[in-house]
Amino acid sequence: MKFLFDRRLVLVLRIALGVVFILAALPKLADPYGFARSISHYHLVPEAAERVLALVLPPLELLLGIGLILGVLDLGASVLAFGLLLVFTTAIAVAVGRGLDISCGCFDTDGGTKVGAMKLVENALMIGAAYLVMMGDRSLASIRAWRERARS
Amino acid sequence: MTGFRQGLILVVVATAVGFAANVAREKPLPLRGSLDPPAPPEPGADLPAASADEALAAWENGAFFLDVREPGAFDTRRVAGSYSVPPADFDDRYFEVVSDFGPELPLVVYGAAADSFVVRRTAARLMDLGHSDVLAVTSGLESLLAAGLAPDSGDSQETP
Repeated sequence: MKFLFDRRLVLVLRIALGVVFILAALPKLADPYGFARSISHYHLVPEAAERVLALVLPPLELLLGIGLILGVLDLGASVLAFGLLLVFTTAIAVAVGRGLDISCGCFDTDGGTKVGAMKLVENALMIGAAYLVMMGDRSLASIRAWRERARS
Repeated sequence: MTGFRQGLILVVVATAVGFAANVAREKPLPLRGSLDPPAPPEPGADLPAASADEALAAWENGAFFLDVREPGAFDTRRVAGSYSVPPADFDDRYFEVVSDFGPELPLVVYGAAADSFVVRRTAARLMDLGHSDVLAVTSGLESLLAAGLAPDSGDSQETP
């Protein structure tokens, strides 16, 4: 299992996760109304919380993505990415369990992929990737690591 | 601890950016209330409803009475001398019946008591076409007949 924590694999996963988070953030930033509606379809949180999430999650995903790709605040970014993916996946699992026929609101605010088993598998893989990035050596191609080397 | 601190920084920055961007938006996302824009008011929704007595006075002054109910209902019972202008045939009936008399012609629009919405909308369309003297009677045909207007039946008066 040691190969899973190889620096190069961690770099690839870090950048891939970063790209995924940025791609997920852009449509939500462009359409906060649509994203708020997507969140409301889950019926999990009160209306005010839905609106706050619709405003905060897109920039958070964007910052996480940038942080992961550049290697800036990368530990915090990977911890948050792992945590957010766990929360998103739980929400999708609850929606599937309730039999809701809704779009997941992951990469699109209007239509997009429906919640279901495939989405859960996809998210499980991303959780695994986020775990490896969080626990692995993220020093390759990282601004943080470059600055630390420059200081020492 | 470092991961927690970095995560907190990211959350705080994202929250600030999210709310600041929302305030700067042309149409900010409201924190409560409906996400859908309010429906535009129906045409004629603000038009004052005329009473049956006002309609009677208009009749005595030579007003045209327009009935917005479906032709079947119109044929069965109506105000004597009125003309059928159901919404589906508004354009045809308007040019057949009303337009030749000019915009000064006083008009009274009525329907069934449940048709107030259609009555107002038809009155609003007539006003949009330049008619200034339009009464919308939303209390229904029976209120007009009760006020003293003569009833009629049959299809002989559907057209002038």
